[in-house]
Amino acid sequence: MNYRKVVWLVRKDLREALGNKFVVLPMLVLPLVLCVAIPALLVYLGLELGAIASSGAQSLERLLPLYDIPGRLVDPVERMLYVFLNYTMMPFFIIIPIMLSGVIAANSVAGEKERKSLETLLYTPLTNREFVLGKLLSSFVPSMTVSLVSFLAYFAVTNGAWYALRGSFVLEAVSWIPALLVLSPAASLMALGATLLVGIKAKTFLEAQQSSALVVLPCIVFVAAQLGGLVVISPLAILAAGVAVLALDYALIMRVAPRFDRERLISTI
Amino acid sequence: MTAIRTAGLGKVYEGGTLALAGLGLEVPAGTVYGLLGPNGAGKSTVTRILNGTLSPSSGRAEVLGSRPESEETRRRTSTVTETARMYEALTLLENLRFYARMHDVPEAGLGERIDALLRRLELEPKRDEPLGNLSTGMKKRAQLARALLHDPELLFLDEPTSGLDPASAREVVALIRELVRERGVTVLLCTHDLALADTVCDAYGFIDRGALRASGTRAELQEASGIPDRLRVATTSGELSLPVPPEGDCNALLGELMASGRRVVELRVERPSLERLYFHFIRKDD
Repeated sequence: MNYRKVVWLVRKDLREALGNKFVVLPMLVLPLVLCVAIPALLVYLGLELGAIASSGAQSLERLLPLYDIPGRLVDPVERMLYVFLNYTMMPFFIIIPIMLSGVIAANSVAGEKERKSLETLLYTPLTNREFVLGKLLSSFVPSMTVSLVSFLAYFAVTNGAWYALRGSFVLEAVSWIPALLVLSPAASLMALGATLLVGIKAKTFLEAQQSSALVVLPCIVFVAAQLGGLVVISPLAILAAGVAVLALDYALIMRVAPRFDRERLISTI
Repeated sequence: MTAIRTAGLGKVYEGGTLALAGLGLEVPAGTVYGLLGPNGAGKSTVTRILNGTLSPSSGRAEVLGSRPESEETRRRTSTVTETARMYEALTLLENLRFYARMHDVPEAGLGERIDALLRRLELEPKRDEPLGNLSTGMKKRAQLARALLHDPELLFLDEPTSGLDPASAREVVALIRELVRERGVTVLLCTHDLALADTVCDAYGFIDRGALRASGTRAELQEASGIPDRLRVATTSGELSLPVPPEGDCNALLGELMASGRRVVELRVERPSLERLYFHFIRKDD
């Protein structure tokens, strides 16, 4: 395995991806809306304008014992916001890398087919393993980078706004670690593996990209469950889920990698 | 030395399409071999098997003494096809640097090597432009620059002059000849363009429905076809095409023509054209 070649392939894919508006737009808009605009607005409206009616918050109060809320928060609106910002928002940081890695992976395999450049790449001495690793990394690295940067922005904006209005912080970084560092990369790899698997046969970027949407579905269930208070997923449970998804990723990638042979790829161009 | 050798090469695609049916091919090193045939004859399949992208369903192939699918083969060969493109969003220079690295071309001297190729292919002014901005002819020349970056010993060229204006096409032909003459490169040229093949090839293979109908130099193909030379006689009252007299003795014929009151302006022996030979072999089994 020539790792320098893998790095060149990743750099080339990134350079190409950043020139494609269908890739760049979701990379910018998705995190900005989900991780900065919505939480900032909620904190401001909830704490400053009282727009979130206390009655609404009180009606949700019956769900709140399920969550581990610091005793210093007594106001129903503050308690509800704490739950929303610490629990409900968490799945978004799993959805973002899933969606982004799906988009970028679709661009880097099916997109290359569509643009007819894959054939030229297959004529180089790049080995199948270098090809697969390069394509995995060129989607995984940017999607996780955007996800982590989004979290830092979310953390700064939300805690900053809360601090400005209440003189304390609302987000606790430690409880986010299993989601950010284990479940989120694991889910991202899952979307990536699925998109690459479909990308072997898909002829177009859009065809391949649609497959990653399927991986988002369980996350939407996760969001809905969190919102409805059906389940309260503790950091430990998230860690366990992350490890389980990683095991599935391993199985998926072991299945995808051997399928990346030149013949299979070129026969679908 | 033989650069390419195949025996009984067969290829059946998924779905049962027969692309090659027992193809046997021998291409001597340092020559330009034209693989000529109609659409769907199997030319691209042969190229893809020989450059290791497809595996044959039967038979065997050897390229530069190695298995076609080996990394070694891809390192020592290069392919330019009509369908394969480079990265249109990247500049010409970025493209060439990327492919050079994929081919393990050492970084030392890479800049000079790229400059020399760009100069040779008259692409230097376009080096920092996105490839997407270049004309079809320039993109084709850029593909050739890409193919030559790693000094291949064998070039697979599929329709290298299609879409080129006559001046660019002539430049490509000159480049192919230069590569063979000066560097001893072997070229497998797949084309429909019989005029191009006639200009540049040392030997030919006529392929149809996955099988090689005939192979050899012009003289060998003519002999196999049984088509005799003709005598082309230009006279003051028109041109005549006549059988070559026995033992090439034209005196009697000239006497007859002069006696009939015609003045002979030019007399030459004409070999059957490549086109004539092509249609002789390609139509033979229809």
